[in-house]
Amino acid sequence: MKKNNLLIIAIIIAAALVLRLINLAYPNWQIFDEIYYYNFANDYLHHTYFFDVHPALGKLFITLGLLIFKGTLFGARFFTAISGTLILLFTYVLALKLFKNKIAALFALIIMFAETSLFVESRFALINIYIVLFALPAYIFFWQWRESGKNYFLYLSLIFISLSTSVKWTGLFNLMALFIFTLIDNKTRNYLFNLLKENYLKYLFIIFCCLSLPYLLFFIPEMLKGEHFFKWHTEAYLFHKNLTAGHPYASKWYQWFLDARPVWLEFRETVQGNIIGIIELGNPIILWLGLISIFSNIYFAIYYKNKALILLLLAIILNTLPWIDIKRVSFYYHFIPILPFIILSLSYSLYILWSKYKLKLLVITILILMITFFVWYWPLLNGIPISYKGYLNRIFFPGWI
Amino acid sequence: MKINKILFIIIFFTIILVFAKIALASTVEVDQGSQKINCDEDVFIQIPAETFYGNTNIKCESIKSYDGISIPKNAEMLSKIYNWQIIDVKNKKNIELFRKEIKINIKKTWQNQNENVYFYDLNTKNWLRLESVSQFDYLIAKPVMTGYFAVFGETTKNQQIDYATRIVYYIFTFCLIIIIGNIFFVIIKKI
Repeated sequence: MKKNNLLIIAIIIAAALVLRLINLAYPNWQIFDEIYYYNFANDYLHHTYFFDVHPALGKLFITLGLLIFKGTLFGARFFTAISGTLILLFTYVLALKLFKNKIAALFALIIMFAETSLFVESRFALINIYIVLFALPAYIFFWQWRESGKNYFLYLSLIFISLSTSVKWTGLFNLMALFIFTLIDNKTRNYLFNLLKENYLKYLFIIFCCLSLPYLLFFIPEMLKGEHFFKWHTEAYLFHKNLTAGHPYASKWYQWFLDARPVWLEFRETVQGNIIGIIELGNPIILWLGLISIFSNIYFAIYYKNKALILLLLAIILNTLPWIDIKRVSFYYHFIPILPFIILSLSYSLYILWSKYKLKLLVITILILMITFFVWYWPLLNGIPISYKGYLNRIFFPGWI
Repeated sequence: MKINKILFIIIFFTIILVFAKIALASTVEVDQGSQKINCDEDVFIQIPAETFYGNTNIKCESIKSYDGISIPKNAEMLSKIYNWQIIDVKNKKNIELFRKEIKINIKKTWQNQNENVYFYDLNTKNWLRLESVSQFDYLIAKPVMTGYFAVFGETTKNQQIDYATRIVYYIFTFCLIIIIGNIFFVIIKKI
């Protein structure tokens, strides 16, 4: 049984890797924000000055790909594809830690596999997937700390939060979620208070180092190209603050949960009258059911005092809350770091339907629906030419155009 | 006498203005610092300074043979097909990355009003539309990659039936029946 389970996980992850790597160099031109990230990564390689408003780590992965694969688009996209596959494994491990159930974890893995926008983000030289890549281990180690009480798990968790923040500042939202959870959870609160009681100066210093050193380390490439630490942070902050100009694909935070406004990364008509498009659209079956699952899990979290669900809900809420007040233009891809937590929430709900209510056929049907949507949308996730009618058939709402 | 002088000046300046307009209408200014690569007398490519790292060799020419290129039947080809390449002199390989916006300028030698510049994607064997604008009697497009490009007149959209959609609708309907059946089963059980 254990062997079978491992085999299923290995097959799903291997399939995800193959789907991400297959024809990775296509489109063989830069699409959407690749124009910036590909150029920035190349500028790192050639020691050319540029100013970007995001820390270096995400771009350094692209740079590494360019270095290994000699400046090709395949190279620029390679580590995103690998990271996009690793997050499936991390989600499985996190689900296993939180729910202590292999079926719930397997559901999380299957849903991650069928998620369309995570797939698209994994195939191009974009950096949002790296936020998730580091945020998920932060939660895994945090939970491990809660379970074992061993402090090095807490330090590891904080290091991963710092790495996530080294990709985009939004990675720091996860620290708020973990901090608030620590305060409301007796177990972790006691661990932390005991730690601080023992020698608060020493442990506050260690916590500070875990949070700041990785960030500083990955700021070195910026310094090497002549950036001043405080000046860069002020300029980047002012850029985000003043970025109020609209965009046709801009969306508000509540539209993300409803899957109301996707981003077309590429859209071209062919002379034969076909469409070549790449859409960053969340799998609606996952997002809509995920939204329902959030509400049902609020009930389970409060009624059964389920701490794993409380952590998940805090992760969703505290990654979303800042976006309600942020004035800068926002896009669906800002939702990417929140998505794995919604998937975990949904996987728990499906597990409840499976085990508590014995609605196995219903759960299997929902999973089939998710995968069917993924397969049906395949041409629009990869830029494979489809007829104009085929494109129109896939557009459920005017907001998807 | 005075009237004749005034008339002469008016006519003279009118002629000058008309000639100037005609001359300007067929001219597209090259941005300062940009390199101009001529493909032929009607087509040139504008490449801003520092678009590439290192030494590059940029070539553009109209092609004589269409071998390996599929020519669409439902669209009117309004220009020749051109091929442009950027070769990294040091590594002797084609460059994929443009650090700055390159412009392809094509003089309109046709009457069709709904024209667009298309580039040929060797992967999918498709001609894909480029963002392009009309400026005087030139059509200016921003290429996303090197290779073949040409101008085609407007085409009709492909309205072929999408069989995948039909199959998906069947699956969706079947799944919906199962979901409704399950909910119905739960309600009955509760009652």
